[in-house]
Amino acid sequence: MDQLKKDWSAAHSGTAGTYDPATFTRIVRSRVKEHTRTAMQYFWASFVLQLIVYALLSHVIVRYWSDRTVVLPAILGIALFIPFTIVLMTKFKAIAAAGKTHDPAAGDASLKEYILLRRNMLLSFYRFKRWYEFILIPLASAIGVFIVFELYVPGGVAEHQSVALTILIITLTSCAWAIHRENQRNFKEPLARFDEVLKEFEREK
Amino acid sequence: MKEALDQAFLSEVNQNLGIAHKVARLYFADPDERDDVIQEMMYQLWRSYPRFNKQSKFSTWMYSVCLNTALTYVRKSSRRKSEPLSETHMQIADPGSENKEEKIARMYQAIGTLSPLNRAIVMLYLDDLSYEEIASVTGLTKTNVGVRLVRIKSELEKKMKLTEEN
Repeated sequence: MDQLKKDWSAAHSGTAGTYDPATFTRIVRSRVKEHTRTAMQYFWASFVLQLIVYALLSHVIVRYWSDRTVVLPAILGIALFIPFTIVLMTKFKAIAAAGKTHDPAAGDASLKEYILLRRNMLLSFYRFKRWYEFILIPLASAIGVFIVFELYVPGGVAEHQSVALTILIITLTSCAWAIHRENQRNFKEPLARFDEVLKEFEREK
Repeated sequence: MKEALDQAFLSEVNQNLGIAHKVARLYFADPDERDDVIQEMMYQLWRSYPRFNKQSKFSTWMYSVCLNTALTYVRKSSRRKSEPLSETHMQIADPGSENKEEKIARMYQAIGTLSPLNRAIVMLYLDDLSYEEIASVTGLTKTNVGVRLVRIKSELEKKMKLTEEN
């Protein structure tokens, strides 16, 4: 081990180069841009989707005001989405802020504290997202299919139950596939990695 | 970028730049990914510098930030491009000879087989940080650092012997 220490010290005795102010500023600028872009991409993707849902349902309410079989599910759809939009935006704001402003834990946190903080932040958002996906996506899809059949298919859902059900299953399957891929990459894998390191801290205590 | 670059901060970073390179090499085999993570470390250092309380040495704080970044880093996209840097920024140190470079590669190979946490501990130990400093950077107790180091040393010795025999 002493030999390894000597070799290590000799191996790193040279200089690692230096940054001039212009290069360093360029790096920081490009990172700020990158973090903002990533955060805003997610923000706009979820926000635009919710705006489309609100716009469509509002249109249905105004256009078919006298038809209660269509208006009631549309109102229900909006009522379901509002609390989710608020919570989604609040939680997202916390994550985005941690990426852009000074991280409260980064200054003096140990490795264990930092990983725990990152893990808890990610887990909290993931838990909410799962809840959102399990409840809102199936409900919103069902309301969507119901309204489309009531408005554009003579006889509505009542006369085309199996077709409506098939379309609903196809919609849900494609949503589930996309959600699974996104969750695997952005949540499950990073969380597993954090948990692995945190487990190691607990070992040999 | 609202805040101006603090000259004292940049000078400290430059004096300790080897830390970022060592940490990157310890956790990332791909040179592109290493460049990317080093730039992320620079950004995280700049971002958290106002929180640096100066009770510990700058280098100890830099180890913390670089290790935190490396262990929580996820490359967003394989197409993401790092800022192009000059050759001097790509080097961990002047290798001097091929033999030296081989030796370094062997060391990193042996250390690379350890778990992420043990890799951090052994690097801090090899860089002459005290048990107290290692404990403060990692969040382990001093006793735990000692116990772990005994095991890591014996594990590494075996691995180095095996590499030399091969």
